[in-house]
Amino acid sequence: MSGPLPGEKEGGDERGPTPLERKDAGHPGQTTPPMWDALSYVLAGPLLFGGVAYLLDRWVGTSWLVLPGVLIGMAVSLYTVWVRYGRQ
Amino acid sequence: MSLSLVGLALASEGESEGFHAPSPEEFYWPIFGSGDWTFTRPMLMMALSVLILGVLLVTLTKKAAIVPGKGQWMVEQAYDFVRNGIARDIIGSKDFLKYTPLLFSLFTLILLNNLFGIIPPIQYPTMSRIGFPIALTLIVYAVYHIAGMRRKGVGHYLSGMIPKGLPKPIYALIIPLEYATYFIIRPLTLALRLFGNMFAGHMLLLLFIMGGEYMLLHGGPGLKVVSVGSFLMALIFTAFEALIQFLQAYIFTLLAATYISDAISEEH
Repeated sequence: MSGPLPGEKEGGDERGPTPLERKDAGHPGQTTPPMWDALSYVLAGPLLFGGVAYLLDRWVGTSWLVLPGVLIGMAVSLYTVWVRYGRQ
Repeated sequence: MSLSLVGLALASEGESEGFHAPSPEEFYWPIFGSGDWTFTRPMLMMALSVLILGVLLVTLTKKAAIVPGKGQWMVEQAYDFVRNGIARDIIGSKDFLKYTPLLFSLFTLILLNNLFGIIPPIQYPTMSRIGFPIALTLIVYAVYHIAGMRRKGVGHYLSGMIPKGLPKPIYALIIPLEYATYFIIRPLTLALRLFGNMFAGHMLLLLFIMGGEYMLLHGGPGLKVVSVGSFLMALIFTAFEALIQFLQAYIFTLLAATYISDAISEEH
């Protein structure tokens, strides 16, 4: 935004930046995904931990692990969303 | 068992006269060939869209002038929108130029194919067949992972996905979650979001138009009057669909840019 003005001299540079380059400079980029990509995290927890719990159920022979698995997954999801998006 | 048989009998009875609600089968349009090698309508439309975009972009920018004509101006607006509004803002000054061609191609290709959903006589959104969003997602998936690995090295790239400075015991839960998100859920939601929106939108339009047509042609006087409402809804939702179609093309491109930016950015 606040690049050197047209009259200003760029110290040391053989060639000053072109108007386009000057316009393009100074954009830091954005590393946090937009808010609604939090959907990926919200889905990942229950699916992952529910899935692991389901496999454990089949392996051990129990039948009650899926619900706690999904709940733990939700908790971890919400925690991750907070870490990623809420902790500034 | 007997109940489902009754249901089947009812359904087959209804088939001869009643109204057919649109079903996923409406989306299968073979043109020629058979089995796995069938050439279908969305394939033809995808080829058509590439042809249209190629011809349009080349002819409109061939005689690029400093004071642009109408066509050149429109192309420049679209390009500016993706280049400055998405690529430069999200990826940042340093690296965005390298990824702008990919993002611009993605945006224009998805937008035109989505708009096919309401452009007569095509009226079929290509992306309502799941294979097309999957193919586009695979390209984005490969690009952002490879870009991240080349920029940081595989080990640093993988460790960069985990947020730092959390209590130790929590990492046992966070690490699998982050990897599942980065490698499975993100591409899944990227493809499914586009597919689902286009599929549901087309279904909705089909329902209102086919319902209206059925009521108008086969219904009694009362239903004939009501069919006006159905067609009106089809009209309203067509306008609404135009918005969704643009929005989904934008979201897909924006997310692709964020994933790339996230993969190549140094700090977390």
